[in-house]
Amino acid sequence: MCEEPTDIITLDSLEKSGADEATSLEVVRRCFVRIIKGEGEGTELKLGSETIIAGRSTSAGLFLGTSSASRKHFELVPERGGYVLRDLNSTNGTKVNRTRVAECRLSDGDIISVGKLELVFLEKTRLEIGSGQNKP
Amino acid sequence: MRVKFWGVRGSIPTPGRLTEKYGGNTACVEIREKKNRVILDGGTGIRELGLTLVKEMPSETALLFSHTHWDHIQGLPFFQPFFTKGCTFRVFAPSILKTRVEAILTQQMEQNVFPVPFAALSSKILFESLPEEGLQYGDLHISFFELNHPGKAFGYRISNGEETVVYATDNEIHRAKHKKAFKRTIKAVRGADFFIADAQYSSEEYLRNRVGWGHSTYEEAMAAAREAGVKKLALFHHDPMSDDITLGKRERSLRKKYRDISLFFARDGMAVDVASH
Repeated sequence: MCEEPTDIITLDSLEKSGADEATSLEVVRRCFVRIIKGEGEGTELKLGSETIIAGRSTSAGLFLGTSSASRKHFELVPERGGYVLRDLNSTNGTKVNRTRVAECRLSDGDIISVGKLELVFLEKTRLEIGSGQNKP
Repeated sequence: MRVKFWGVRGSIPTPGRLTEKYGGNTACVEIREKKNRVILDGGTGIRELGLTLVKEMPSETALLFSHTHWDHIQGLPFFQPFFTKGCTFRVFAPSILKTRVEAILTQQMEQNVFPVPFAALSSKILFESLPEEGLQYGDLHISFFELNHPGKAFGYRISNGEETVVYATDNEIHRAKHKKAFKRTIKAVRGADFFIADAQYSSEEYLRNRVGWGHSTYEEAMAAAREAGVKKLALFHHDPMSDDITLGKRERSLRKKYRDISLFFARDGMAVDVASH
């Protein structure tokens, strides 16, 4: 969950933005992983609709620059509006908030550890003004 | 053995953003060992488990219930494999619980409360007594022990010969107030690799006005785990009043305080291999 307040849309701001009856508000959720400790610190990857493989392999979607990482270490799978981390039978395991897991649905602020390398999963949710075209 | 948590909340489902990290589904845990699958309790978490189970047809699953309070059975009317031909369930229960389970599952699907009667389910559901000495289910040995909970509840000890998991939720233990239950639990849990323990309250909450409600505190679960020599402890059956921020703070604080044991707060959707450390 997001512990920080997200953008607030007031009626006033809607009027100023020119929103009319056909306008709809959409909750947009964007997720990222950021390396916060170890090689590549500061690297951020935006997650989309594709599964991302993380590992030591240079072809991995998310490169884990540590000898503790297996070539294919874990995957991040988009599921039901969020992301599930699955360890890919890695040699040294994957921890989420210091618990070694085989699988875990990620939540904002979760710390993923592979050896001494640490990543944070971030989730940003905001309301955006949509076109209303999806309305029945 | 792999343990997957499908529902970790106690008492009542708690949907919404304030609880989405740890989860809002009521009790349901899956244990898998090769081809053997055991489901512990049928709270609302079992609905989502059912969606994966129907993809693995035909299937046979052992189903165990700690007891028949709502938060442990309320997901079953929405458990798709119950409605699916080719799914077989062997419900093992201590004899005192077996009759009750069969009656309650039937009652919760009576037409006044649910449109499809239990008798109309397409799956095969067999109710069997779990003997005092336990039984062998495929590669797993399953035995039971009594818990301290209003109306009586049971815990289960499940072993593949190398690893042992103990599931003991809805169990009020306390070193001062419920000494017998505390000792009984330690005896049943002794030497387990993985202990899934009722830990609904903080000590302060418990002593304020929840003594006798049938649930334990983090501290008592910790004490039992340590005394029983448990390797890994999953704190379970979170109070519906505890949101993610509260649980997160408590989890971090307990880990700082008790560094000699591997502990975590169970989360919906989390799977852990018992052998991993």
